Amino acid sequence: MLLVFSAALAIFLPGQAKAGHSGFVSVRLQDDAPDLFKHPKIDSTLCHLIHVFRTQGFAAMKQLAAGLNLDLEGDLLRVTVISRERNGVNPSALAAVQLTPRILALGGKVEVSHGADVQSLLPIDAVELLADNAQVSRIRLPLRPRSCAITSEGVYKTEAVSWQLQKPFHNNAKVKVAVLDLGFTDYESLLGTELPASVTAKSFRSDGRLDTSVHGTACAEIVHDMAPDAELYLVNFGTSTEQHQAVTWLIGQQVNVISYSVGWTNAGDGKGTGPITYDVDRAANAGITWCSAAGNDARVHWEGTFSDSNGNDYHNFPDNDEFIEFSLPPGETLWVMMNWDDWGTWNGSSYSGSANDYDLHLYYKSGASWTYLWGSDNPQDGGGDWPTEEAGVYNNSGATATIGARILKHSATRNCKMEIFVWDISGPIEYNVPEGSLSVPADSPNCIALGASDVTSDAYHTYSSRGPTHDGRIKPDFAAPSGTSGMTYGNYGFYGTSSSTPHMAGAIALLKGKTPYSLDQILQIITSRALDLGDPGPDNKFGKGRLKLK
Amino acid sequence: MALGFLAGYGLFSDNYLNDSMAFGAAFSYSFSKNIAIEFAGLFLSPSNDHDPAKLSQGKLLTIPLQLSLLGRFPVGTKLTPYALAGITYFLNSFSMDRTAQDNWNALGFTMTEKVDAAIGFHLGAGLEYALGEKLSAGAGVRYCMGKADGEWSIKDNQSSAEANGTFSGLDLNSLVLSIGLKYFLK
Repeated sequence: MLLVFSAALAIFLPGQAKAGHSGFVSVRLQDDAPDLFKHPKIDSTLCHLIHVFRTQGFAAMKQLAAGLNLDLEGDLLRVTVISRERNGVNPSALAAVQLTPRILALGGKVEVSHGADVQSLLPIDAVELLADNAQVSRIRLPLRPRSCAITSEGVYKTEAVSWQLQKPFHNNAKVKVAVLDLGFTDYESLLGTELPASVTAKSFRSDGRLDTSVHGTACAEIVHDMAPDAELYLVNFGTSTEQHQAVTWLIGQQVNVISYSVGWTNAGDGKGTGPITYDVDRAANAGITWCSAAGNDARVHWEGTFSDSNGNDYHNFPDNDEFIEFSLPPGETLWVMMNWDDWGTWNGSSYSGSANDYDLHLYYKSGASWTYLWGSDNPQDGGGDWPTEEAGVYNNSGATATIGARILKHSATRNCKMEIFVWDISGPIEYNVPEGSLSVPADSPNCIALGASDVTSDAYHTYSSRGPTHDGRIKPDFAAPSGTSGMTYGNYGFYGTSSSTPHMAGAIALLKGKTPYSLDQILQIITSRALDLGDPGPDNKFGKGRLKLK
Repeated sequence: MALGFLAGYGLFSDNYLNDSMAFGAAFSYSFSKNIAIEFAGLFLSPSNDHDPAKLSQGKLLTIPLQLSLLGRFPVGTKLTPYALAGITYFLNSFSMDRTAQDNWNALGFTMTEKVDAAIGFHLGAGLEYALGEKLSAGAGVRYCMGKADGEWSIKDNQSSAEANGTFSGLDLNSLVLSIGLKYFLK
């Protein structure tokens, strides 16, 4: 049995968590000559340093130690001297007491001790002399902890890391980035590691909850990876009305950049107007740069002009097929969203609406025959009705179902250009048309829309929504890395244009914090460095190119 | 008339300017045993730390040219304490730290930073000891006061995006401790 239901306006997250793999790169230090110095009580890295000191001099040893991120205090090296004494009664005092005079005599200092370990600062030429002391069991480098933070590979791919090392040039302003999303579950546990030590978090949901999705948390991680000095605002909403309030508040907070990895369908004419793109326009007028995910619908999108070759009022797909089919696994739900190019005029708050009435009918296939399930047949009679229909299907049959959709021309004076999106299946759908599959508000001329490129290979991710917009503009504007690592989704676990978007938002914030340029100039700088991928020049997969900052 | 040379150490009050060696020369003309005028030039080159509001990390070359009125108060035949005050004209030149500049160049940017000349004041005191009829040695301290303005610019070599601006109030106040030799021409 299939359960059907409908919703007036639905939203989705253009981000897909996907099981990933772990990988790491290790760097092996090479030396031109084998180490000639060995000592049974000195660990090998220290022996290597002593060898360099003796053959190349102090400066070379110091440079090597600095390059290996070893602890240097002036000309002294921090080491752990392990005492041969083992005493269960106040062992630290005994070990330190016995070794301190010798360490001091050699020009070193004792910092702290515990048990048999005496942490000391030693001149490099004193290490062997101390090791020869009978009270010394061993001398090694101190054990060091490592942060468990996970940094997006996009930081390196985009060469943001080169910018992060720069000191700001005539700029001491703090940059504010807002992550506007559907939820920030568990963000508190990441403060001080994957996120700044403190953030401003505010919910505009009617229930006031922030913990409604991990998606926003993952996006915020990437912004922080790209722009560690930026001030973060984590703001969530649940409906379009709540989003309007959120954006009003963010304008008042004078944020510089909004990272928006959220997309809408059936929420605008695809030409840059509508209630969602209205928020983008307001933010842009307030000087805020809005980065928007292009969407992940390239494989679940169809569009075409209504055509009824056999005169039965149902659209004919290729080969006169009246059904566009989708496969629905058991236990899964899909939504079919349909709209057509008859929105009327946008007056800043509403569309004048459609007078061409089309309906959406859903069926399921049993053998060779189709059984009608449900129709979405809202009236469009020129009274301000939107040209949209949507219907959902839940498969509780226990087996994979084939679902078909038909488009009925109920009463229309022209053959409109129709568009179908299918939510929550991976695609590609039958008669898939990836072109024109942008989410709202990625179609806005006032936002920077981001498509997804693979973080490792730069390959286009085939789900990444493509332009052009319904008024013929090239979109997305850029591509940015996807398939990246973070604490929320794990190693290489964050796919989707949701991952791409905060890379751009973070890049803009990074440059804004390091230079005195305006946001428009920063976009100019980013454009000039973007790596042209795909067809030469701007295109509807990669835009002006993949984000690259050097 | 006398010509002197001095060497010393300059301590800057600005948090971003580091201390520096100081060198200088001075020409003085005595109207009387007690009153003289002096024209001196000092040379200091403090390194500066990165200040996002004023100057990037680098080296500031500052040459205070000083016109002073000296009051000399001989004690006996050998010792002459003195006090001086006057106006200072700071000639300034700044060079950005080479590594920092190279890093920006590697990102595709060219930047300039310039510190303008400035007018200030100074006052000081010291002690001269006659080594002979025409030669004396001395030690002194001068406090120089001044603030300088400057300009900066940055240009992206790829997109040609440019930004520029000015800053004001770079604190040039310094205390110069020096020793020197003076040769009396007549």
